[in-house]
Amino acid sequence: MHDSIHDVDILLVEDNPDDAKLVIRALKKCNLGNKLIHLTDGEQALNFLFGKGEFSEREVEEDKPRVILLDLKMPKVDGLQVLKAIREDPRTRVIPVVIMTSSAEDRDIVNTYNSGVNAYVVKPVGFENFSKAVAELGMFWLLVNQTAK
Amino acid sequence: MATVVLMVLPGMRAPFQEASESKANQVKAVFLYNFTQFVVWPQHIFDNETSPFVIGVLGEDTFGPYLNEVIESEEVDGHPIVVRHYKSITAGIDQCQILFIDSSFPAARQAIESLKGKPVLTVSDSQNFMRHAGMLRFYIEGGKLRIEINQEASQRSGLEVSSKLLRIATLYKE
Amino acid sequence: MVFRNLPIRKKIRWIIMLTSAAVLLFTFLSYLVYEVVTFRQTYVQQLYTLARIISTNCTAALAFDNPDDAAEVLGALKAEKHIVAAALYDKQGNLFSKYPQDYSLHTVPQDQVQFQEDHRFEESHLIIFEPVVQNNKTLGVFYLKSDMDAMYERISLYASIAAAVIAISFVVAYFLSNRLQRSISRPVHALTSTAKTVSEKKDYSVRTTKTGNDEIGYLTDAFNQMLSEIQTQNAQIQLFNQKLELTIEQRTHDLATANKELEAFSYSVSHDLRAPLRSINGYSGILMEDYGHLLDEEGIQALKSIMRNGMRMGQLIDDLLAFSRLGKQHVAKFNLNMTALAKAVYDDLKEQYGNKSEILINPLPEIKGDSSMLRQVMQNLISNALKYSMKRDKPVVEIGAYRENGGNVYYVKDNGVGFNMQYYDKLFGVFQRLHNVTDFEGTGVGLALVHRIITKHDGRIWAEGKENEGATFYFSLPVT
Repeated sequence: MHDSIHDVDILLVEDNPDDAKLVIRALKKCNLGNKLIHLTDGEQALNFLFGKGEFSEREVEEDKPRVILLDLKMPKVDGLQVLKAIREDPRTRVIPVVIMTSSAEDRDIVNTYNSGVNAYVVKPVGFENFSKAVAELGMFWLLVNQTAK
Repeated sequence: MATVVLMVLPGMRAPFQEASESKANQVKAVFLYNFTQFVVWPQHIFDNETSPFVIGVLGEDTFGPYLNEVIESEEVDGHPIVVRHYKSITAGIDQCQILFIDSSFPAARQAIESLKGKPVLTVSDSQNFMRHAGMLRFYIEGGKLRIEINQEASQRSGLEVSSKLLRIATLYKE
Repeated sequence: MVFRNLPIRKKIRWIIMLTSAAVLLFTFLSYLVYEVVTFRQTYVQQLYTLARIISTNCTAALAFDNPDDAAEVLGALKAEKHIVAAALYDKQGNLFSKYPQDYSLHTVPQDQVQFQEDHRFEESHLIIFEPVVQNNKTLGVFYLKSDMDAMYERISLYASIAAAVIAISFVVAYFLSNRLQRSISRPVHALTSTAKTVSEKKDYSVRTTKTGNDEIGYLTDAFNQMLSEIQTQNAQIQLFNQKLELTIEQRTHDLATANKELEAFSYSVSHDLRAPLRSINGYSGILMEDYGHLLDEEGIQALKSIMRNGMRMGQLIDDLLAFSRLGKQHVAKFNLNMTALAKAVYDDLKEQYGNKSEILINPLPEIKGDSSMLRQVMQNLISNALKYSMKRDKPVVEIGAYRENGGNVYYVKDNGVGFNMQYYDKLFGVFQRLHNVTDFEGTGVGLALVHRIITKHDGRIWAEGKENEGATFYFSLPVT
């Protein structure tokens, strides 16, 4: 499925393929989407991160994504549960997590920050704004921010 | 009532003085008149309604003017009172209703005898008058003029002496 | 002890006793007056008779000047103990005889001697003049003076009998009234104690026993009936209350459910409605960016329409969400510098509206309020003012405030297109617009939001306007 699972920069967890395509397009426009992995639900994301199921052969410790872009509303395991699992496990605790979602509900913002999210971004509806926001996001987390090993 | 002759004179209450003989006579005159009020004579003694009521004085007239003054314009039951004077016992004395016999008159006894059975009130101030069967006698006691009555004598003559008069008089018993 | 505060049984007793005493007293008094009057008349007659007898017996004494006899006659008066004095006067008014013999005090002066039969009461004595007459001849006058002790003795005897009778009847009345008042006071007392039980213990099940068919009996019936009715009504009210509580519980539950559903609804609106919109916008953008050169002018315009409407729908959703979120939002009140707030809002907006308006911000008084909410208010009102006056040659916007009825009134005034007061009712409604979208953009939620915020602050909002002459929006906020 994914040939190059080593040296992952961005892990995108997004169930909506249209949204995912927009994000990937925007990142690629500024050459940030080359080492990107797109997973379509929470369960898959957890398997990827903890080397389970289809990702059982993966070297989890060695190959951590530099940032996780996480959708909140997803089937099976939602974004908040994924976030909690990431922060509970010492192997993944240090990975920056950015929530990218459609809603700006207070309780979502409060809950995710309480669970240790690094940023909360509402996806703009307009195309230009959206592209701009995603590009800035990629730039910040991959070029400006320093992550722990 | 103002026309009524004085019957009770002023000074009467004063002690009777023998010296003032005229005063005593004055009182006697009043008493004589007053007898007409206290003695009742029989109805038939008057001839008619205008016949006078006669007070007779036998013997010396000691009353002077007093008696006339007392009886002036007085009447008894409508009969005018008149005073008549007699010097002696005459036939006219039995016409009197009251006969005063003066103490100086010597024949008082005979006069009474002559009036026996006749309704004539005999009065005198003589001491022996009652013994001669006289009816009324004046006498002095304690300086006052008093009356003595012989009731039997007056009754025999058909005269009725008021009990009021009897009350104040001394009764003589024969 | 005030009479009106006495218990009824004592009142009745007093009424009976006092009434009987008053009646008795009055009766005795009238009898006494009658007695005094008749006694005096009788006594005068008696004394005249005595005087006539004496005077008749004195005629001879007067006529024949015999005071001793007169004294004797007068001495007979000794038998009459009430005779104080007697005297015999002669025709001239001179004293002839007197009784008692040593009585020197009371001889009548000569000029006061009367010869007419006459009597008078003098210093509680009765005095009589009786002429002494013999055969119509007046001989003098008899004077007789008697004390009135006989009458006083009689009055005092009478008074003691009256006192005794009144005292006895008082006692009798006391015992009688004690027995008789029970027929009135007992049922009244029963009523009172029932009423007391009712008012103190709120026990409406008690009843008073009826004792007769008089007014009190009627009152008892009415009272009992009233209690029954209250009892029934209480039961009904209780039942009703229980029902009401049940209903309220049900409604509360329903409301909570509805609220939850509404929350879920608005959550999905915000989340699920925006996602497809984003795709529409996004892919329209890609189309324009990557394939725009393949489209003719008409195709470009069509694509632009899709993008514009997509944007507009996004704005609509955002506004609507903000409006519905306001419902459950808590108002956090702090002191706000309204002048600074207005200036900041204006600074944010001026670029958007071409920077050509003349703005006049008067000093605004401080107020307690929620800063983010009141910022929204100012933002909406000022942006409206700028928006609707933008097409003027010289747009003027004035912001000010004044005090009225213990509150602050803030206003935002413009010289823009204004509005027709005929449509005033639609001004603050959600999605209500008075202008065409092509002329002035907007979702129609702004003023509804403002209205909701001001209402949440216990304030009031209103507006004045005239077509093509401008509009003024006012809102008042309580000071404390």
